[in-house]
Amino acid sequence: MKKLVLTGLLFLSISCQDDPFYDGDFFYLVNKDAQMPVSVRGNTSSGIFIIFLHGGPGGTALQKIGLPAFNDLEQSYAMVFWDQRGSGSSQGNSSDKNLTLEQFVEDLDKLVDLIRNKYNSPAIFLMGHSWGGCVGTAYLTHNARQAKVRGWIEVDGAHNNPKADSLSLQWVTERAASQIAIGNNTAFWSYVLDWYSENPNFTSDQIEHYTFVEKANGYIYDAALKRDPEKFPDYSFDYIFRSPANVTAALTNYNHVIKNFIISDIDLSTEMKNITLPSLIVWGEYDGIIPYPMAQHAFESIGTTKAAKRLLTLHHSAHNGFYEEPEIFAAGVRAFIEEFK
Amino acid sequence: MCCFASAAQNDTSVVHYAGFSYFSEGGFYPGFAFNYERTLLANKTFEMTAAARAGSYFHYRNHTGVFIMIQSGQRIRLYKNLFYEHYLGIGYLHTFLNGGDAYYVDAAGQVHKASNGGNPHFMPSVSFGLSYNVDVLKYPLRVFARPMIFWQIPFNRSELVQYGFEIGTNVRLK
Repeated sequence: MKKLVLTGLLFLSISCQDDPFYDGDFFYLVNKDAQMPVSVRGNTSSGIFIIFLHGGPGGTALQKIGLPAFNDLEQSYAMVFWDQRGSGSSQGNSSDKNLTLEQFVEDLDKLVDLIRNKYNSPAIFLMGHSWGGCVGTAYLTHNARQAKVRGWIEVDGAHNNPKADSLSLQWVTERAASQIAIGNNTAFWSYVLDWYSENPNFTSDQIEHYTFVEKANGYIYDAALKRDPEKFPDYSFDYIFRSPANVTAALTNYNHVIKNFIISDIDLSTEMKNITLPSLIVWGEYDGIIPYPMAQHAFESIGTTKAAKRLLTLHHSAHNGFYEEPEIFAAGVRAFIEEFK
Repeated sequence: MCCFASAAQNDTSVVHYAGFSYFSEGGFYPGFAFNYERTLLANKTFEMTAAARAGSYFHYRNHTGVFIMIQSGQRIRLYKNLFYEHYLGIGYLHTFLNGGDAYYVDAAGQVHKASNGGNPHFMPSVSFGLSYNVDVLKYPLRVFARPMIFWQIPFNRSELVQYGFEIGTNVRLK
């Protein structure tokens, strides 16, 4: 019995640490009662680090480890996956008073300083997806902070939420109307239109809107992708049972943050002219939550000269291009970094 | 339940058990627990039990949990030596960051190692499962398997529900 138990413990211990989730460096950033995990993977000797800023607020970066697009980029560069305060597998007892954009920016600044300190001042590129696009944009509008970074990659970012919400409303209602016109799930899509009529002051903080966008394939353009465990491993066995992530904690954190952090009034359009470093805007043409016109808005609002701005449109993607078109996504990011590293 | 308790009072002899169990958090993150159980009331079909446990588990690159808890439980005979059992518990859980160093950055941008003093949590729990009474080398043993739900309070100003699994054995003390 004793041998059996010891063998089982040994097997579990070994099998966990052979998992790709356990590659690379791992440490924590501690700030104001938040204990935030940081996983650094890939080619650290390249001297080029991409800090991935996850969405939400309340999402998780650790869940993105192992995605084909990021595995590809890790061949050339180091990828930094950081779970923000109160998000993902972050621990501690972070106060709700610190659920502010300013606090998230301060945390990011400390992460940048920590990476610079630990890895001998590498070239840092920020990659902000969705809510992470808001954090990254706000971070870079300050000159001293911008000086620590080599380039900015905004992926379907939330830099102007009132405008994005308005466009998202239009996007969903147009799709609802087209579904009704072809007689597809008419009852549901009629309910969607009624809901928006009854909620004329809707904002994206209302969870119903997310559900409608999801149903209209506004997050993942090709719904079949979610059934491909290679491209969409979000809730794979390994992630749930063997990764460093704590799935119940990630869901608890998400539910808490989404209820206690209102972001629908954030508009950084004016300050974006302060961003002058090389920038790549990556957007899915079928994004339903931050629709494609926001890509052009970002491109024009950023103060970087046209010579150092790039726009990559993903023609078969919605909100999550790094899942949906990983090869094109990784190739576009690599080309940008090679040009401006 | 009242009739069980009433019947149980036919035999009020206190019996002590102690043992060891494999305790996992989240299904696959390994740990262990030392157990002490005391049968307060018993008859042929029903037992009331008080228990104390102390243990630890390791969620690599997430946290290490160290806990103590007291539980009150009931065992109901299903068939011969096979029992259904359930327990309610309260306890204290202390979690430590696991798998890497912790750092803080001061206002001047200087990086320092942070202490890993851990986080305190209140730990209520509910567990249920099956146990089997068996004699091995004349020692009366209980072999048990119990899924457990436990709470980690506070956790980022919220309450975190965790799930665990325990499999082990307790031996009757003379």
